[in-house]
Amino acid sequence: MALPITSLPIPQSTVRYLSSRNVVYLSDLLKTLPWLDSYNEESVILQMEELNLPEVHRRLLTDFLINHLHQTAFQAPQIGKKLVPIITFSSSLDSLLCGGIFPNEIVEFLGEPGSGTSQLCMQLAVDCSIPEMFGGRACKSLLIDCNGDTCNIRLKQMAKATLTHLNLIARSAEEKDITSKLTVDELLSKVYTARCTNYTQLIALINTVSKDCNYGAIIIDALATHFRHEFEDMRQRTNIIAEFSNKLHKLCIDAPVSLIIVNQVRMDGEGSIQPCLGESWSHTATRRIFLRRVSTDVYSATIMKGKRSGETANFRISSRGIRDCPAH
Amino acid sequence: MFPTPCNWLLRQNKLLKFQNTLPVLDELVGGLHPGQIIELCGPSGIGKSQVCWHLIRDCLNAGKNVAMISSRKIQDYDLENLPNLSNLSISYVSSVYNLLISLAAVNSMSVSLVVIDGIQPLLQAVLGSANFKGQALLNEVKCGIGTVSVKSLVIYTNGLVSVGDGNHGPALGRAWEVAPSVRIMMLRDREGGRVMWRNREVTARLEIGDQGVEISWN
Repeated sequence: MALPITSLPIPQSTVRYLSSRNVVYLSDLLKTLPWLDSYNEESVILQMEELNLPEVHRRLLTDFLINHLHQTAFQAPQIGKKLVPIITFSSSLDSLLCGGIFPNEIVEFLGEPGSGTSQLCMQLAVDCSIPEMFGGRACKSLLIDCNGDTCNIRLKQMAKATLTHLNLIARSAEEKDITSKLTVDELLSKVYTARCTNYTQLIALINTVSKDCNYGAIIIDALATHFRHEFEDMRQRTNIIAEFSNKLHKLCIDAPVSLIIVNQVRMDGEGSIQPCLGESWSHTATRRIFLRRVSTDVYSATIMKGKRSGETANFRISSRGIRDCPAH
Repeated sequence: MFPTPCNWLLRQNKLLKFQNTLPVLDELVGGLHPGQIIELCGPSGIGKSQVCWHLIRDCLNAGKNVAMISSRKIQDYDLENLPNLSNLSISYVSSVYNLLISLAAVNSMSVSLVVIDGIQPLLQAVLGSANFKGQALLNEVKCGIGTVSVKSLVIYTNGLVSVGDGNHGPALGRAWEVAPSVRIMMLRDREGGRVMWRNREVTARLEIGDQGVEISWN
């Protein structure tokens, strides 16, 4: 297919320069398109140098060709090594999630206010730092707080309870050695929190994190907070959310990070509960889970989209964090 | 594309066509063969990607090549139980420009089935910008898909938007409505089952199981 240069994301000045040299399609520029032979960065650089373009245009074009063509190269998939999920400490919830939250996926939690979403976020942030010997991921986690529900004291309480649990289940000498040296401070040093007060801060944070992401999980608590009330122009909001959703997907593809996003719900005209942020956002998450409060400390989670769709599990929120309901 | 005699094109079609296990879908769209551009639009979680994976498995079972262009990472559990994984090529795209480049690259591969999963977020981000560049890019994508569909069957997934009065329509606006050759709307009916509509007249029922999907007439 002939790709016209006007459809490439290069600045207008470069496009004008190329049209003045009678280049209309990408194939006019490059003698052999890099996706025809096996992808070769050196051949692209050599071809660009042969063309005798002014320095600024040559650099822009080479950067574009190398970045975009490298990203979109077709490859056969390989089934990788076994992925370690982030657990939630409630075995019924974990089995509903088929093990927990895996890397490279976007999971969305929905719920009314008071349905346990913020507590679940804090528990998942702490669970990321469980050492590998106990089946955890031992990675850093970033908890982005949009509406002020994250409480550092609660995080410490949950970390303490996790450490107590690890001490109880340690059996072998190696495991006991690790837990004796582990402190609450060390567990919490892997949990990062950031507070965003408007949507531009949120987008800027995600941009910075995407550049070199070494977190294992990024948890956004209440994405809808900044998008629900600030926008007068709905079209602008849809575009910003679509762009944001693209950024999140790219982040998941490039790095083995789990994205956990909490969304809010609203009532629609007929009185049924709908997720916020509209239909176009609802395609972003690969799994969607609806949380509901059943009684004083019993909560239920139902899968709306994803594997085991329609199934429900109950869990309890206690002073120790998210745990199983006691069996009756 | 050079002028080519019809019988040569038909012979090439026959080589690239693959046997599928969804005869009802075959009839619903008017034939699953190269030249068709099929759009599956529906709300989130209704099973658009599941239908795509079922067709990918059929195509790989028949020993043909499949190209997948995806805006979201493909998990390992989607890939297990798929035969002939070396015939499947995956390209990840995160913007319209990446999509255009991937479509240009597919043209030089000979694949029977091209699946574009999640086209809506890619195109939605450029629509509605102040200048007309958004519509121009939409046109480019339409042309790109059209060129690819000459040699392969193209299936892509779109989302739904509400069009007033509680009705739903495909996302991406009026200009995109003419892009596919067939549009299948997937909705939930009153009892919660999944139905597939073509032109709001012909309907079929969809069930998702562990081994794949099952489509039957309503």
